[in-house]
Amino acid sequence: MTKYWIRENGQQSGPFSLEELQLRTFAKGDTFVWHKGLEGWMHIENVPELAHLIAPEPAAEPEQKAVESEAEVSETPKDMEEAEEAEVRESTPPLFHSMPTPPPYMEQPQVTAPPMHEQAPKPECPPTNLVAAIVCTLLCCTPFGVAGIVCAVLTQNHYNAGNYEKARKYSQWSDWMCILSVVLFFLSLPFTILFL
Amino acid sequence: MKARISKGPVWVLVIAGVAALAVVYYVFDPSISHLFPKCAFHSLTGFQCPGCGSQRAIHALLHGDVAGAMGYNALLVVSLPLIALLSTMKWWKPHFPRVHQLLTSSVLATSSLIIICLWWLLRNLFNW
Repeated sequence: MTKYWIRENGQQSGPFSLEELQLRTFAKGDTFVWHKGLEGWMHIENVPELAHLIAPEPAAEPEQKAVESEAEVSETPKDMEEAEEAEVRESTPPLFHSMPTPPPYMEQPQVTAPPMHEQAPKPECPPTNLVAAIVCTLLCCTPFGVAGIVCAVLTQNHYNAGNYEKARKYSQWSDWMCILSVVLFFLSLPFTILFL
Repeated sequence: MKARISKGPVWVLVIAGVAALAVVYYVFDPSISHLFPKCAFHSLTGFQCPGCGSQRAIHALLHGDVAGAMGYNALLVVSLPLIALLSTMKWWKPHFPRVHQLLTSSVLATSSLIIICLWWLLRNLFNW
């Protein structure tokens, strides 16, 4: 069961269960909510399971609000089931930074924007073939070994700089340079053994 | 998955090949025997390539003569530990992430290239 902390007019209270809060109403103006899983205090309007507890303002259309809130209430039990039940609720809400009520156009991104760390994962580094190129240089005696090292260095540098496409290209180049080096070495073996 | 399965026999072949070569280079001395390949670059240009002396160095190393190996091709002797580390990176990478980060840095790759080119140049200048 999720526990809620409430901050009304600068006064913090909690934790409350959802059932306890259902019996209350809150002023729309200066009410913020925090529960475990939220990164910071949210205006009560932006907490779906509590939004219907805002005291209806005289000017607003109460009937439409009630319909909305009912639809939201029916969703809440599922959310609560999913909430981690086994965990002990020792956690405390974060420090409240007096946060101005966000203007309407900011509310949507605040709720739906994915966290920053959910970026595309870094692809695996393509093989740089640095070792193979060094071995080819030291053992095969062909200039392609050095070319392979150059391509291996470019692979590593481009990968570390985030140019994954170029890194893959140079990885293939260094691969080919090593193969060329070895092939040339073996092709020249009879010559280098017998005639030099 | 496919690549992983096919890598096994390759490694066995590589190890078997290296072991066979080690026996050959232990028994025969490349500086005496004529049945070892000579460096084409050296024969054609008269200059030493970065790998010249590697066969003699390996022969000396297999006989425990590190100083002699250094005299034939110092760069090969120095880079052997690095080669061993880099070629087995896949296995120790999860255990030593910081070493892995160090060895896959751009600085290391670039400096290995510079060192090899310097070695190529300097060994011809000073007859190392």
